[in-house]
Amino acid sequence: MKICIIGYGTVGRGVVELIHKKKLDVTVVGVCGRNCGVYDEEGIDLGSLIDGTKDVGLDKYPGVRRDIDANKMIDMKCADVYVELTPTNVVDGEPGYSFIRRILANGCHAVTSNKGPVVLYYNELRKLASANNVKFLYEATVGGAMPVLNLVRENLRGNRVASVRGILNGTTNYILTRMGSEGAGFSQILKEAQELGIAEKDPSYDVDGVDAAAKAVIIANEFFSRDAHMEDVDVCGITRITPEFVSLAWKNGFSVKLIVEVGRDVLRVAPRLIERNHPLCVDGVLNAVNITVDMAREVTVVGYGAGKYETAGAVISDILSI
Amino acid sequence: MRLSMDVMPKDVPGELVRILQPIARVGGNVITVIHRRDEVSLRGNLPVHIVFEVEGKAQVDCIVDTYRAENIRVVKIDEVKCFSELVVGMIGHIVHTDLSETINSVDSLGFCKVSDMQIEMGNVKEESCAIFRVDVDSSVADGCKVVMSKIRETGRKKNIMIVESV
Repeated sequence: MKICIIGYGTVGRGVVELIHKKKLDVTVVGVCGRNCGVYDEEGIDLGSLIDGTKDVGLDKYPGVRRDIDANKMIDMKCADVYVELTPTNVVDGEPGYSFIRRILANGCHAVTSNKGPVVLYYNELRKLASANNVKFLYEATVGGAMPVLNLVRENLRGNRVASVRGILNGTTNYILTRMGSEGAGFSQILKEAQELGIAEKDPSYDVDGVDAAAKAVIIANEFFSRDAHMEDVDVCGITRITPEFVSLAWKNGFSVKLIVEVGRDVLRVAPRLIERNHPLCVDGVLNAVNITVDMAREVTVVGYGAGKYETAGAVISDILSI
Repeated sequence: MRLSMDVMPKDVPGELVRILQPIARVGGNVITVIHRRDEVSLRGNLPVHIVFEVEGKAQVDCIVDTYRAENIRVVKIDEVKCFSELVVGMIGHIVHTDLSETINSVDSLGFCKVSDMQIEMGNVKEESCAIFRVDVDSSVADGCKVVMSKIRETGRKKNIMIVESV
């Protein structure tokens, strides 16, 4: 199988490194950065690419070409699968949205870890994929390495999903866990989380619940055939949660978690009290999802929702499933 | 008729007698009493499962009325839940926005009661936080939804953040 990777950031590098390290039966013919690319129709030498871009961007790699970019590579139809890994943008979905549209319209399969296009243009992109008889897969957009979308699509086939609840943001779960175990305040833990690279410099995307809301929209559209958008989500972040409240909850047998709740008529992200023996009550950066279906009743999965190799693993799983 | 009943008395001496007396008074025959010592609640209540026989529904109503009057919580009768417990967290200026009015707004619905409340006062000018437990009569359709809606409304009005339980 020939693939072309668009976006050579953390996840892109993770995908390349894992394909090389695990000697997967996948030929990477193209890797695109911003306004540049590496191309070899016989397959790029991944070892050389990894070594040559260890401390620098793709644009500094000796084998990089300036006359080639993502759009050109897509139009060349040089790969069976295009892996779109540009940064998430939930405002207009670009540049990922235009890339995915072009890939699908060209009759190629698309795999992405980019929530933006999936959140904003879910139905359009799904229809485009179907009309062109190609696959459009995005497991990495919800719960990182933890199987959620493919779990229902493949393993729970025939079940009707009644509701989904879960912890889908590792950063907030880490902050709330630390507040509980150490009694430190939100700002202090956030600062430490930023130093550890668990939280972004601009943490609002996580702590205001935007990231979790994006995942809620994808779940609503995927499992409930809704036409949900970001503005439909009732969102409340964790900035007002105090260590005193987390401690009081703990004394009463509860933990405080940022919970995503999705059903036919529910679309909500909010801090919630959850009994400590509840299967969803996982700590640290872990994510967990509890899916209620009609036949299997309840299924809970726990795993790492983010991270270079965890997310890359979910992308590779999608690539290999095509 | 034979019935099973779950009650939640306080875990203190004499409570078991208090539970069994109303059954005896209506001529009931106690078949089994199971004291669930390993399930004492955080509020110090102990679940007790009782199986007993009485003549009819009038005797059952009499027993339940006595329990209510004596503040003994009946959780369920013959697997039918008598009340559901809602646990709700609050963060905000809970005391200074008239705490008793907040509690009354729930109690005045008529089919529920704030049964417990723990509050943690914040430092000067800082927000307080609390955990409320509300017993909601299970026979009222959508009772929990109505109570939550009322609590959310109060939260919006008083700028108190409501943290619901899962």
